[in-house]
Formats: sequence, structure tokens, C-alpha cells
Amino acid sequence: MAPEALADHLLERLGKRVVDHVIQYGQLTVTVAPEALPSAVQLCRDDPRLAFDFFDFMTGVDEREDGFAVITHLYSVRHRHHIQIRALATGGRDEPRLPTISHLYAGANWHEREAYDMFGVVFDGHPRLLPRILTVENFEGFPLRKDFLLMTREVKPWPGLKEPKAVEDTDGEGDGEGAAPATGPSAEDKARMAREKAERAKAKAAEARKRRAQEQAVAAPADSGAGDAVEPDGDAVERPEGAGDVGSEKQAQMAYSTGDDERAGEPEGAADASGEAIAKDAAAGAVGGDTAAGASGDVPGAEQPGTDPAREAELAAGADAQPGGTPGVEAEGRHAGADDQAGDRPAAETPGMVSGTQDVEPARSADDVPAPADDGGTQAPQPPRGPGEEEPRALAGEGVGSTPLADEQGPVVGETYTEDPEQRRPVGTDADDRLRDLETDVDEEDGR
Amino acid sequence: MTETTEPMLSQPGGANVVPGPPGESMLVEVRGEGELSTQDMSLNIGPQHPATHGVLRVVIDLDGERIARATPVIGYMHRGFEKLAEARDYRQIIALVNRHDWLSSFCNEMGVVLAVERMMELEVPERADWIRVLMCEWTRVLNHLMFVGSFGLELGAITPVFFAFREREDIQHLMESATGGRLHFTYNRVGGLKEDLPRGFLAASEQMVRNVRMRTQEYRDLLQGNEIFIARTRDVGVLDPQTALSYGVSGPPLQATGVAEDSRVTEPYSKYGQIDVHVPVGTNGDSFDRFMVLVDRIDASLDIIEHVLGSIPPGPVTTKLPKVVKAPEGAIYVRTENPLGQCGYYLVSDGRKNPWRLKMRTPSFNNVAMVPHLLEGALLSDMIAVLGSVFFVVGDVDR
Repeated sequence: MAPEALADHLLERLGKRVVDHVIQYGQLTVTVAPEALPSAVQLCRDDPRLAFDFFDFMTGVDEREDGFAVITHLYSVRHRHHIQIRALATGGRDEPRLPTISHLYAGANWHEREAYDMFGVVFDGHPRLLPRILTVENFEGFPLRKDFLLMTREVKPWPGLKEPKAVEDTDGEGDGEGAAPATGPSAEDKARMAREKAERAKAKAAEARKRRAQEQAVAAPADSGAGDAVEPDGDAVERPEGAGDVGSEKQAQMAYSTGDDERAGEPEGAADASGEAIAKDAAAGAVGGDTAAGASGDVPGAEQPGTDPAREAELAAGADAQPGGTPGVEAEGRHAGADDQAGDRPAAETPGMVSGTQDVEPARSADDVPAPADDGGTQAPQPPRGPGEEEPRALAGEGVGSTPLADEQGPVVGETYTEDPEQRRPVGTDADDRLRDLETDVDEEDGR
Repeated sequence: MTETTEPMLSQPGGANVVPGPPGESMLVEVRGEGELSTQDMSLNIGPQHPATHGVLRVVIDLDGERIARATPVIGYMHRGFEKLAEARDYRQIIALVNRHDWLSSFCNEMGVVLAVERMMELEVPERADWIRVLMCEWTRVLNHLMFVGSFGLELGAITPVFFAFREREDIQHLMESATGGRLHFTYNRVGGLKEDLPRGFLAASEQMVRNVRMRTQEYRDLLQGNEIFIARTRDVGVLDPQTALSYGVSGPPLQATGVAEDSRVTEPYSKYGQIDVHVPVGTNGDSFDRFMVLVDRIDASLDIIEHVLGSIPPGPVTTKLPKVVKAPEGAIYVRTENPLGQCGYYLVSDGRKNPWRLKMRTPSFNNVAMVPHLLEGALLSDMIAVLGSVFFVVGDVDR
């Protein structure tokens, strides 16, 4: 039977028990209510027009907040057609349960044990789910859940894609990721590099403090404006999804969140020049965007920057340099845009930084960054980020041993450049990464 | 089993108990007129038994010489491939899937690249498609030779394994010349192949087909008519088609029951639709049939290779790919007929460069799940003939 005819037939026979059905790539997937799984499977087996006699496989799929779905694939040797029966386990992520089908197909026994072992889905009525079929007896956790992190990935960065983050994890605990101790260079080298770096950092910090004192009055009201603009796109409801997403986007997003925090709250004792730049850019972006686009119009601090003509000119320059820098765009990039890579890199920030902080080297222009071929989005330079923050190290990890690979990773390429002007070079060698680890460490200490 | 023994001890229940042979604590219960009945005994086979092709452990409860219950204990080689695949991009996954069934590496690759290509709607160049079929069949021959040799070895015939490995060595040389690998070829790429065949490969293949065809006759001569071999495999481990299907058994064990299910025929992928694939089937579903199906499958594969050698068109072997290979959002299931049975990949993509979920539906997992069914009630001495004829690779079971 063709998938369409199959679907019609099943809908007719199962009625309300079918929740949904999809035909994709010529394959029919029927979603049934969890309690109806055994009866649906039995119908598929016993109905002579269906006659699914071959038990192919059964597997769990992590469905994020919805918990876990279990897919049962059946095939009919007689009619040569396939079906996938999908049921969402009841009990969410905490206690996923489904009725067993192991009495219908002998092969389902082991597959249910595997689904239990890997996802923790309990099959009611299964003769014996324990001992765990693939993992060891006293294994803790269910390895194929997305919130189960690989141990190697927890202790050291990984050259490929980052480990999927826990779904519930909203507070960006990427701290563990880059926490690998910097080993390698001799103690002398370390000390020398640390000294040099400390000097540079001190100079920058002093500069930054001076500037912040001047600009705090300007930045604070504008910040509230930016915060308002952020709200509609990036409310807390959106976050878990982004947090549950896999990969470097998530990393980037976390870094941005850090930037947000710094901006929204008062930038407490931030010693790094770039952190300052962020705060100021937020102001620039918000104000510039608001005045240019007239967005929402009710920004309380919109007038205030006007009291400082010099600053206003600077802001205008920042806004003009990148008209796309409306707060809305930024907000989307930071909060809701986890699945949109282009959105992850707020376009407005770097030009703002360049115009705002004169002591920083000119930002790497878009041409310098190898453009990904298939990424339709805007190619924007890496947004500024404080050297004391987590991201550079995480990215350094991403670059380890992956120089040829990084070349083909497209959108990620832009992120292998760190924002600190002195570190603006491609990562990829161990020495570079170790150096950066040292540098960032020193910055942190110096700043607090 | 009846034997007369003197009752030595009396127990309240009325049953008489005599101590077992010296050095064993097992007691033998004697009932009635001196009839012996034995206590159950658990026996560990493996995890290092040579007949298990890896580290499969079978816990066997014995009632006398009969197997009352057999429980395969798997997971000793579990390497978490499905988890690893979620953290790797599709090029890396090709190298990963090479390894769960190390005797069918090229066929494993096929499943993954087909899945990604179908999702991306990529057209593979004709030449690449034909070469894929060629390589698949050589891999199948390699795999089957291994099992033809080892099955004989397990039953006490040493010669077949030497013969089989002689051919395997030659074919591996051939494969190495094209792919650079001896076991893990990693010759597939999404959208085509790593590179074109080296000069002289087709001629060498032709020669090799003739060699191997001659040799398969030798295996038949060595084993098919061998009295001991027949005595040990005929009517041993008989599997009926309904049970096989219900367990999801595929490959030679299924075909030996008379079910001609082979996705190269029933759902042709790549260029199999244009080739006449012969699917050998058995009649009895016993160990002997399983073995003969295996040998016949070598010949069927050689036929396919001959067909392919005359059909490979000139042209490119790769397509231009985007810099980052991303499968669009959705789910797809692709099954291929691997040497050991039906191998399937259920790929769920969320649109990124690595899969959200990659389920490896491996033939050995389902086939080994069926083993307890075959062993129950069998004699312990038949266990090897049963285990050896299911043809599995433990890496493929555990993943």
C-alpha cells in the first residue's frame, strides 16, 4: 500500500487514537496516543490489509520539553510497506512511561530494554527491563538524553561541535567547558606571558575606568531603553529552547547573555575594555536604533543622550555605520535566535565598538573573515566580548586540532576569532590556545 | 536418562539424594526406581569464547545436557556510537559507522550517505553509484568469506578458514588499492565517493571474480558434502519464518527460513534496481541452510560484480557540496541489505550539520535477540553450531 492509502486506512481503523500523521520522504509516521500504542501495533500486525509481520526496530527520540517519543518501525514482507508508529511517552522528562508491545513482537523485548537503557522510558508490562542491556549494571543516567553530557566533554573542550546542553539549563553553565587547566608551556614561559599580559590588561583597565566614569550618566538611561526593547523577543519563555539546543550557537548565545547581564545590571568593576565597549555599544545601538527607526517611541532615556553633544555625535556615527543595529535585531540574536546562526551575531555591535573606543585596533572587516558559502545570513564580525569572559576559551577549544576542519565549518569560522584586538588571529595551534588561556586568566584576576 | 544407583541418603520429601562426582558440590537427585534427574546448572559461555566473534556472553541454564534457558549478556562492546554521532558532522559519521560492524564497513557507510543524500535531495553521479554497488558487493564477499571460514573452524574444520583468509587477503589488497583501507574503507562521501578508482582496478576485479568463484566451489566441496558437518548442522537450531519476522531477523538467518526478503530486491537503493539480484533461500531454517545461503550469497554477489564491471560509465564521482553539509529538518529511515542482514539508519535532523538522533538499527542486534529462542531446548553441544550460524558481529550488537 502506498503511504497515503496506508494513512487513510489507519485513520479509518484507529479513529481518534491517531493524534497526527506525517508522510516525509515517502515514509509514513503515525503518532498515536500513548495508551493506544499496543492496540495500534496489534492492528497493524493482525489486519490482513496491513499485515506488518516484520518488527524492524524501536527507538527513543529526545523531544526536548515534550519528553521522549518512541518510534516503532514495522515492515510488511508480504505487502512491502513500512510504517512508523510514534508515541510520546507520558510523564514528561521525569518519568516517561509507555505500555509495552513486547507481547506482540518478540523482537520488541530487547528494543524496549534498549530504549529504557538509553532514554529511561519505562515500558509497563515488559517482562524484564533490568539488568540494563547495553550499559553496565550501576550506570547512572540515561546516556542518549540530551541532558546527559559526555564526560570527556565536561572536562575538556572538544574540536567538533559542543555537547548538547541540558534542557533545563538556562543559567549558562558553560563554566565547566573551558576549565581545562593550561598545561604545556614551561613555568618560565607562563610567567613571562602572564607578566606581559598583565601589563597590557592593566593599561586597558585604567583606560576603561576613566572612560566609564565619563559615560556612566549617558549609558545608564539608554540601557533601560535597550532592556525594554529586548523584552518582547527575548522573554524567559523562549530561553529553555535555546538552552536545549546543541552546539556552538548555544555557546555563543551564552556569551551574549553574559554581555546582556553586564549591560542590564551595572557593569560592576569590569576591568576589561571590551566589556566597557559592550555597555557603550548597547547604548549606541539602542539610542541610534530608536532615533533612526523611531521604534516604539517610548524610550525614557531617548532624550538624555542629547544633553552631551559629543557623545551624541559619536552615537550617531555608530548608528550610521550599521543601520541594522536596532535593538530588536540584537535582542533576537541574543535570545530567540539560537537556531538562526546569522542572528547570533548582532550586526550593530562591532562597528559601534570601533567608533566608540579609539584605542582598539580596527575591527577585522567582514572580508577578512572567510565567508561561509551556504549561510544566507549577514556576515558580521564577531561582537566584542571581554577577555575575562568564558567564550574565548571555549572557542579556543573548538579550534584545537581542527584547522582544516574549521575551514569548512562555515558559520563557525567567524567565531574562531576572538574579540580582543591583541588576540585577533585565528586559533588552531595548541600554543595559541594555551597562551589565550593564560591571558584570559590573568585578565580575570586583574579585574577583580 | 535412566540409570540404577544405590540410594545413599533419604530426605524428608521422599526424594533420595546422592552426592555428585568427587570435587563437585552438585547433588544428583534420584527419584523413584533409580531414575536420575539433575539440578539446574548455570554456565557462562564467553565473553571470550571464540564462537562469539567478539565479546558476547551467554549465560546458559542447563538441565542435563539440554539448554533450559539461554540469556545473552550484551553490552561489553558498547561504545555509544549513537551518542557520539550526535556530536559529529556527517563526514565524521561516515567514519564512525564504519566501525560498529567492522566486517561490513562499506555497506554501513552506504546507509548513512544515502540517508543524508535523500534528505538533501542530492543527485549522485552515475559512476559513483555504480562503484558503490561494486564496493558493497566486494564487502559482502569479504564478510561472507570470513564467516564461511570461521563457521567451519568452530565445527572443527580448519582448512576452510585458511582458504577463506587467502581470498580475503587478495580482496583486501584490491580494496586497499582503491580506498586506502583494509577494514575501514571510509570511501563514501555524501554526494559520491572519496576518489575515483585507480587504474587497473576493474581488470583486477574481473580476475578476482574468477578466482573467488572457483574457490567457493572448494568450500562447497569441503563442507557441503562433509558428513560430520552435515551431522552437526542439519536440523540444528531450526528457525521458522514467523518467529524470525517477529524478532526482526534478517539476512542469511531469515533467508534460510525461505523468506526471500532482501532490500536490494524489495526496495532497491543505489543501482540495485537495474541489476538482477539473486536471493538464495533455504527451506529448513536450520544451521546448515543458513550456511549454504551464506555461500550462495557469495556467488550472487560475484554475479552482481560482473554485471557492474560491464556497466560503470565514465564521469565524475563526486558532486559539488555546500561547505557545510546540513540535512534539512525531518526524519528519514534508510535500510540497506548489509552482509549480515538489514541495516537501517533512522536519522532525525534538526537542520544542523550533525544529527539530532541517529538510530543504528543493526542486523546483529535483532538476530542475536533471537538466539535464546534457538538455544532453548537445544543440546549444549549444538550451541556452537547455532551461535556460529547466526552470523553476527558483537560490535554490531552493542554499537
